Amino acid sequence: MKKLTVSKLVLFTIAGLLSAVSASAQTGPFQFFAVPPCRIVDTRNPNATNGGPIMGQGGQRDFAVRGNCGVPTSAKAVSLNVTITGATTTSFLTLWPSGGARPVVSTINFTQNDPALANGAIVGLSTNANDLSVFNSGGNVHVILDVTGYFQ
Amino acid sequence: MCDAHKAGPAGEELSMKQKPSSLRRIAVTCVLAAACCLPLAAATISKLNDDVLAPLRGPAVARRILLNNVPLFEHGTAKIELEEFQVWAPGGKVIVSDGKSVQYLDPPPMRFFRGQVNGDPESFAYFSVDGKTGGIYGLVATRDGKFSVNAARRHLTPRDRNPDNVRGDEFDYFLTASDDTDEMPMTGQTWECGVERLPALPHVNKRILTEVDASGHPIIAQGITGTQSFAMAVEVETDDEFFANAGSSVSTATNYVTNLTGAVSTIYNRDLHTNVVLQNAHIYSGGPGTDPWVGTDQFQGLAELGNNYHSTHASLKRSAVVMLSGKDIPGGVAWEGTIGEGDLAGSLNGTATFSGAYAWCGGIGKLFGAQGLGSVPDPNATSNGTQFGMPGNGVPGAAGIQSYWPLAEYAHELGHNLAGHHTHCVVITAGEAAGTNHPTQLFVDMCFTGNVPTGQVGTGEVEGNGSHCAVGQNFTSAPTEKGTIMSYCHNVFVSGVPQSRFTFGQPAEVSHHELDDYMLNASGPLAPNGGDFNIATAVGTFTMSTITASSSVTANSTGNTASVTTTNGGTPTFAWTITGGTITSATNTNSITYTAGPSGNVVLRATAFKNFASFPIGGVGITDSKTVTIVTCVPPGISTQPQSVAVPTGTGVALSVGATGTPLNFQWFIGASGNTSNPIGGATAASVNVAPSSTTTYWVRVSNSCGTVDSAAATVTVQAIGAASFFLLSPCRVLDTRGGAPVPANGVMNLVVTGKCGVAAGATSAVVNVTVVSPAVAGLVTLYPGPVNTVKPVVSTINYTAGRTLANNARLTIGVDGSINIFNASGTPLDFLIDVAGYFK
Repeated sequence: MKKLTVSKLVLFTIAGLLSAVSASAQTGPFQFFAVPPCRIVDTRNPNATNGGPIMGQGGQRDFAVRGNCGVPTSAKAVSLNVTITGATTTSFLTLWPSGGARPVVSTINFTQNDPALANGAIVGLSTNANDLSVFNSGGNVHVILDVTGYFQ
Repeated sequence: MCDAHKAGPAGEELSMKQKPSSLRRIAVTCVLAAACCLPLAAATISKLNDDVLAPLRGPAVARRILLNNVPLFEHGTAKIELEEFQVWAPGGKVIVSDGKSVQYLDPPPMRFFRGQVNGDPESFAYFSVDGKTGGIYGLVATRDGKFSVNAARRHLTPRDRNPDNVRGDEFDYFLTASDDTDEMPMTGQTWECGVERLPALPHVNKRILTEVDASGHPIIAQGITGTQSFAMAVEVETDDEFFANAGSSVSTATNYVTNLTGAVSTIYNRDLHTNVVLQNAHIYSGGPGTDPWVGTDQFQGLAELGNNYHSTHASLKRSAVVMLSGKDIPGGVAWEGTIGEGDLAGSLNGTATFSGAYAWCGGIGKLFGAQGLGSVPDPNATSNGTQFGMPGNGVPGAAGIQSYWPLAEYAHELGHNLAGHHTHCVVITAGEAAGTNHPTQLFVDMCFTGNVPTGQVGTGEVEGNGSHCAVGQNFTSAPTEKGTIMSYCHNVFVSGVPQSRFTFGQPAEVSHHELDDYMLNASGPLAPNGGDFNIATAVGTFTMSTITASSSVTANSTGNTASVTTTNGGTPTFAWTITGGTITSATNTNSITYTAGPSGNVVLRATAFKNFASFPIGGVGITDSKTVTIVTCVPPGISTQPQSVAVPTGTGVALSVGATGTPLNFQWFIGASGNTSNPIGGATAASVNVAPSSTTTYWVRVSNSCGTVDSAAATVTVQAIGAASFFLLSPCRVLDTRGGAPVPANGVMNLVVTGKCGVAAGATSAVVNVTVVSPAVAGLVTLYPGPVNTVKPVVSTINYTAGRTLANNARLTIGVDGSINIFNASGTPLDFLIDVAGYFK
């Protein structure tokens, strides 16, 4: 039993190192392209890649940004507004390029007393089909992403 | 306390042998009555304002009268459209014999009106106006209930001792809402009566006609609307017993005969296209024994009526003679199929007589010992919950049997003269029964089980076993369909209510079958003797064309014309009415000139009345009416042209046009102005949202029935947003609404940002911090590119709660015109800040 626990810890550490390497690999300079504001993700909608279901505790969703709302597949980062609603407890969201380990950052912090709350962000995109990951720390919460531009 | 008793002598089976080739049939009507409890009916009464009924007291020239604002209690006010109809033939007289001398009096100067309430075809209104006193009596039946208008004396003056001196304006008028709660259960009825044995007759031609106006409402008019009308001139006889029942008053007796004939005419007009016109009324005022009538039952009465008229009135032109006897005889009898024929010698119950168009009705004003003339019921009213239902119950007296019996009997016996059989003796085919409530019914109605008389046993019948006509049916239970005027269903009571109606049958019913026997070929010759179905005299055909008029006219325009033509017109009388405009010419000709109103529709209605002087005993007319609706319009014009605009790729924009005129129709097109090859589906409003993927030109056509105008073209230029680099600025507040105009509630503020705080022209996006300041309520703000008519995307830039000043970081996409839109999605104005930190270009 003891050996098995040690083995797991090792694997976790390796994943974190891989993530750090992946993020540091993204470089510039990039140019900015504005787009008319466009709602690209809304988990209140019926279940779909960029729709429901609601995000649960400790849950992660990978959304598809490139190819939607005028964001081309060559885009490297996206300018967006993150809005939450219907939170059931105090929590935070982390947004990062999909495919890598979740970085220890927060994109928006909120409580169940916020009917809805928003924050602006610029987030990198991976080359996966579902290129943007979102993580919810606690409780259930709906996530809405509105795009206002992209970098490439 | 209920006490049923059998009434009336049992009828006998009768048949008449006439000339060898001619068989006359005789029909008998008997009545059953029971004394029963009669609860007091609750009623609501209110006094009517004099103005409401004033139009009825106007000059005797208007054939059409409109009563406005008749207050029907909690059911609101009613508009009652009335048309006059005639009961008396021109030249008709009241012939009063007192045993010593004979007076020829003019008919009572009464005018009769019937019509609809609020245009509802299921409503009915009837008013009579006493031309001498101006006194008014009215009945109004709507879906909401029945109402009557009655007079009460306003002033008590010495002149009141002489009724001839009373004027109508000395009355107060009261509106009464009645109810139909006067029903009591009756059980244990026994009943018997004879009926003639009749073969089923072949059906003859026409179904009843229904003509509707432009609104789909049946047209009500004197005579028949349509092409064919009939009229019957009826000579009404009475006796000294009737005079006594009328309180020994000539005017009461005459008025009752007049009203009763008017009610009969209403039924015949409605169901058979036939006017019943009263020719002469004979009143015997000299007291008992001073009339020529000595018979003690209906058969003796009919025999002496035929003999009297054959010998003393051989040359009098008439359609039929109807006796309204006041003798306490609960039955009537009539010769069948005799209208239009001459008299034939024969015998009745051993008495030599002449058969012909004679009908005898007993018990008018006295039945089972209860004396008095009740009011004549409205034959169109919904009574006891049944359309055309007979009112009252089986109790002798004005509120019971006498409330329906005289009208039912008069219409029934005259119907026999017209060759109408008892409907429980008219078989129908399986095909006719199919699709009705009576898939297995053999007869039109099932209200009678008579014993098969001696010598009259037919196939499948046994003498005396109750199998006559309606085999196996039990008359003490409710019929599946309430009976016709030609049935015996008035003798069948359910909870005291007679199961019969004042109709020959309506088109939707099995009983309509019986109508076929009446609808005769009007163009055929009248058979002199022994002919089969001779209905009343056909008075001719008359039709009016639809109204010829422009389908649309310009608002307030003058000199617009409308006209109609008539066929077989001769010199008809015309009348026109208009709503939504003003008639500026005379209205008594076939064409008019009118001025249109400022808006809405003009509705024109034309009515033409043709008097047929060729009718043997006086004029009878046919009225035809048509209605046309004309659209009033103002030619369209363009006050604001749609504006060209440039937008970023992926942006929607609203194009709009300002237009004048009414009504206005819009259609947007893609292409050059006037090129209609690419209409935009569903784009039929003053504005349209478009989101072209490339630069596109649009225009709109504005039209109505008065004209068409095309807008100039507007081009939506689509610009791709190019690559941009970031330019850093010193933080700068580009918007602060505090102390100025806040962002309106649920509204948009447009703000040019280029050229402010160092944001360069051509910038595609601004990097900002936005702040809501002490919002009154929760809400959100959407920031999106200008111009102001850009279609707002469904996104949000900041969400906030009440009272909490909150900020968010954002990049604002800037429109081609350098502006952004700020939409406040909350119910209160919002103070808003935008601080710019840099921009992309």
